[in-house]
Amino acid sequence: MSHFLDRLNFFKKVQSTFSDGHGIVTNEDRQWEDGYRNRWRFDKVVRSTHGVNCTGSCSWNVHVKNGLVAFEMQATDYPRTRPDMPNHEPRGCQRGASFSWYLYSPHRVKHPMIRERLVTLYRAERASGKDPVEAWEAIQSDPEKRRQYTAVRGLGGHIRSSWEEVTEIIAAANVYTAKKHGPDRIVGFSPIPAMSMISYAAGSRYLSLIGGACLSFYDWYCDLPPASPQTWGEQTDVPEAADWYNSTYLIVAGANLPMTRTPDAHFYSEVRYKGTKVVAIAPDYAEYVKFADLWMPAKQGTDSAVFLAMGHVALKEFFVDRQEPYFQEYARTYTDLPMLVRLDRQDEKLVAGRLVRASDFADALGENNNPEWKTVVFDEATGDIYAPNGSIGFRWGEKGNWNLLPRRKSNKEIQPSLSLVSDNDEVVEVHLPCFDSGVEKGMKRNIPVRKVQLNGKETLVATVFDLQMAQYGIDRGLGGDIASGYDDIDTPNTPAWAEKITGVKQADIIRTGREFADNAAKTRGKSMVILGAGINHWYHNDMNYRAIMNLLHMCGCVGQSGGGWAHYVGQEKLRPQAGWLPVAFALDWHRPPRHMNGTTFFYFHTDQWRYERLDADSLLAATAKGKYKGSQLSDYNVVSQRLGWLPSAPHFNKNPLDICKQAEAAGATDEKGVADYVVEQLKKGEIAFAAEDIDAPENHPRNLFVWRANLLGCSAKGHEYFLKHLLGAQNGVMQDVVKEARGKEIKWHDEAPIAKLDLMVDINFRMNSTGAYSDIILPTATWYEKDDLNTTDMHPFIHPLTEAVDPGWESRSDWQIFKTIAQEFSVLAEKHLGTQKDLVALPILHDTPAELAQPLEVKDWKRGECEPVPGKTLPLLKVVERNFADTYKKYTALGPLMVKLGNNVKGIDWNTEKEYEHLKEICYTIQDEGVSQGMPSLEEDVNVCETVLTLAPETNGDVAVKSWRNLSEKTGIDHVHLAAPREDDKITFRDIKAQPRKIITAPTWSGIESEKVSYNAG
Amino acid sequence: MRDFGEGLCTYRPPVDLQATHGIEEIIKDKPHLVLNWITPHSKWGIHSTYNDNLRMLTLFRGGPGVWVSEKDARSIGLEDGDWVEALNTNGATMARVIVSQRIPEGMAMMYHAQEKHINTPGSNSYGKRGGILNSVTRVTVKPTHMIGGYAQLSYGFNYYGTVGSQRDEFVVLHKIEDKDIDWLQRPLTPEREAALNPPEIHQAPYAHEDE
Repeated sequence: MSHFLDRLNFFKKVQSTFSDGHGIVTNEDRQWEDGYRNRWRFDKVVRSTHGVNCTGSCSWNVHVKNGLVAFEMQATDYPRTRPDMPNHEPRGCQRGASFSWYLYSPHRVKHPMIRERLVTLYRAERASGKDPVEAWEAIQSDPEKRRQYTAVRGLGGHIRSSWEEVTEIIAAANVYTAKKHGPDRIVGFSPIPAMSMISYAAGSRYLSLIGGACLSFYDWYCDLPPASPQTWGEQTDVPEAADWYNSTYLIVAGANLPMTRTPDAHFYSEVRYKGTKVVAIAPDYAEYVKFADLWMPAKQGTDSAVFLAMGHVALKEFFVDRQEPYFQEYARTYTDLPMLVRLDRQDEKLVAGRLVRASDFADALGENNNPEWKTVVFDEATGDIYAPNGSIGFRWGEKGNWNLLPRRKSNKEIQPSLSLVSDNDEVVEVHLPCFDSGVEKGMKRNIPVRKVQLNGKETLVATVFDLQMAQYGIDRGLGGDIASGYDDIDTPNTPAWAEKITGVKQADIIRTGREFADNAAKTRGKSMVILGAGINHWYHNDMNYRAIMNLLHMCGCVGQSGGGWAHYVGQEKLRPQAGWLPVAFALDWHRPPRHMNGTTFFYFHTDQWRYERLDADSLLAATAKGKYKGSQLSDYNVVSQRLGWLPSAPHFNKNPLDICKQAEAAGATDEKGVADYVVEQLKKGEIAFAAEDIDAPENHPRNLFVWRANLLGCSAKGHEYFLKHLLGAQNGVMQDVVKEARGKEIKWHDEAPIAKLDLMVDINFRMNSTGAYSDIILPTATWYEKDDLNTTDMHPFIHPLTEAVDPGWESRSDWQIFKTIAQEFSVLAEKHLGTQKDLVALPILHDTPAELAQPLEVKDWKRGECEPVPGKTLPLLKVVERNFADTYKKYTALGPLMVKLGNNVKGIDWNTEKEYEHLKEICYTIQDEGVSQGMPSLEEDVNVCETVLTLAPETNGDVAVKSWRNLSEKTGIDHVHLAAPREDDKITFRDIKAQPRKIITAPTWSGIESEKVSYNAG
Repeated sequence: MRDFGEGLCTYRPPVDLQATHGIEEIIKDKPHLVLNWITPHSKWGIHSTYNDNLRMLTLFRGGPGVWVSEKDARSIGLEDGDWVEALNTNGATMARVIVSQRIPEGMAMMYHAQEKHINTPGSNSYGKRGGILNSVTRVTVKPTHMIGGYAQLSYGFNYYGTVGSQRDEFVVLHKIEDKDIDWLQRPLTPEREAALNPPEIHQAPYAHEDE
């Protein structure tokens, strides 16, 4: 009934009054209110989250009505951690709460889209009888046809197509590129897997199977702090947000917690109620400054000066004026401060040389394994030199000594000397670098040294600690050029000097430095520095960060609950990493995969190197040996690739499939034969690294996939160079190439190429700037329309993205999209590619025995200083056999190498046969004949989730115990007890749909998950 | 590492990327500022996500904005909400200016990342779509990050290697009058296309040079 007549009673709706006429009783139609009520009605609630690059990892309840998402609400059922901690929830912010708008918005990519000019060309070629690969070849071989669509990138012109047509074109382009140019010319960019790790794995698995290169992102964003691996050998390992609550002194610098860590920021305000002091360092009055007791407004880019000056105060007051026992103990046990450094004479000046190694001594100090990788110290009691446990030489080739336990001799612990100040042979003047003005002008300092026989020659040695004291300008009664006091404005690293550079009052620096150290001394390290993009996004980010790390080490904060280094920018934590890696990079079928560092890739291929105005020589110290003086920054990068330090993609100026064919034609019968052939060809110059002529057409990347990302609209630093050189689109580059950028290692072409890419594919749920420039846009499922996994380092829980509603319009999950492409690729590859061997040039990798490559000095084979030896002075040269027609079958099944080779992470290995059999039961097995028959299925997204959860120690207690057991062998210490109480726990996808689950502690990470402490890096 | 003077930690000031060189001379007759270009995370979006979403667009000003200090703004007659262009040798970007006490002198701040196709007009300097925050940046790599094969200084995927820093960059910022704003909403006619792509623009050769 419409009640239409009922509504026509406006003039008599007031029935009576009450409260002396202040209130009225009305009779009117109120059905309109149902509109609002219905807006918030729902049929079911499904848990999901937002796979967005924020590290929030907030659990959300998605409310569904009539098969549509009505709204989302924060979930409030996180398991409790400990009674003395505030709750984690509610997590989620205003941004996440608006997500449901995207599902039905005009931005939504609803159908496969393609550039009209491209599809018109393609259809014409197909209509003329060519097969898809031939059709693609016909377009690419005709510059005029190619130009028709590349020149209008970014100017609109997309039309709706079908899944069948676009996947055929993509597969044809990939097959053609692999055949003609090489699979390493097919690349993919997708950021931060942890936010939706199965969707990341979709593209990376497909690319890894066909030999494409996955580009890194964390370094490209400049969120990666190089200072962290430089100092600790760990990429980034930080406390969870709850650990802020354990801190008793917090400095926050360049990390805007309430803005960028919104769901975690409550810990930042709650800890203040406990009395924790908060100091904020920021050039602007940022949101996090409002929480602080003290604001130190340091000029942007000068933060390291503030921290060096605070370090000056801590060293002066806690190492010289008095010796704080805790700091002494910490420095000797956990830092390299007691290690010995040799002093070298250069141009009549003494400079700090390299660390002294066991191999420098006649008998290698009794260290037979890797003596050139074992650093040494003085024993304080006897003055003997010995190699303490824990240096990298103990990690590989022996068992039981890779730990930081004090060494024992005749049942007595040996204590390393920190300083030679009271027990030295002489005090000498050393020259240390100083870059205050931007130009290195050097400074002179007196330090205590001892004379020792190294390699048969008397050599001066000093401890790192004594060098550092000199570097900070601390007066230790040794005379020479040092600070006269905190107010010495001219001597680097004093508070007055820092005030001159940063604008922060020296009194504030002195007080904060003193309080920070004093607090750490009293609490055994509960002083914390929270830091982020504001400090790390600078060219000299590693120096900025190391100034902070130094302060933390002096004060014994790293590895302590409530203390340490808390880097929060882009630092997502893919918790079940060990289970995810084999799926994501197809390690279950082929090893190794092809990886490329994003920064170098884009620096070269968008030709930003051709506009370089920063003179590399201006960065050198005055005392530099300068082997590569006169080189460009780009030259250094080429040398780095050539020595096997950084990866390359494309690798060489030839198709890696052809190289293998030619090697076999020349008589190679195995991987070593192919490698020998390549070494010979490199020496002769017949094969060259692609970077040596980066602008030559044979070295261009040809196909680019972008998924889960907005590369062009967001992270493309040098955006206009991307448009110009990579895409050939309209662009705003305001300068010609810079002739001074021409170097020695890269062949220079006067004319820079444009439109290097044949095909750019964007996979997205929304139309953005990346889609606008792409040739093909594929509609993907949103975060409420697919099954996936999500983790962060900000809290210890794992939770799902869930298919609350069907994928909208024609969209599909990323896993299904790449599955479809793999299927079409396999069909076309049967005719055009078949089975071929592929040469993969693998850089010398972190966390592998190969990292012990060149211990004492750098030798460059191309300069005739040594032979090119794969894995030592050249990348490792590996051969991978690919049956390209099996790509689909391999994509959809967990392959045999998981049983044959097992699994590993960070150099820790374990067997996975039991998990493999378990997966056959829970994911079913492939029935179709062929290479994958009988193997666990990865056909559906949920199968992939279960596979990751089953293989990872963080979500499978059994695996956790196995992996700890393996680590115990290396360290000689029993770690199994850490995971033993949860050995029987197996977290499944169904579990995390019900409630976020706390993960199990695993050796993938340096710290531990426990019922007693919050996670903090060890 | 030692050649670059970084064996021990030392203070290194931002580097001069010279991106405003030449630009200032062109614009010298117009009031302008030379500012350090800082691109932090946004309050109303996560990178480029959510900024373009109707709900978030209504919670903040919507569209591209550049924050400038009160003093700097006053010095060239800028008022809150004026259109400005930030440019250097790398490119140019258009935005409305947000004049704020929050910002110190000498710095311009643009949140990342606001979409090119949302409320972004053409650029006064080159007549094309107004760019994004990274239109005026260019990455510069550091040799010490390329070291490998040396224990902890070894490459790992997303673990160690060159990083794309962007905060040492400077821009020239000047006001654009409302009448000079061009929304570039004309269709792409053959004549316009010909004008946009003069024949001298070189396209990548399609095949290997040796064929």
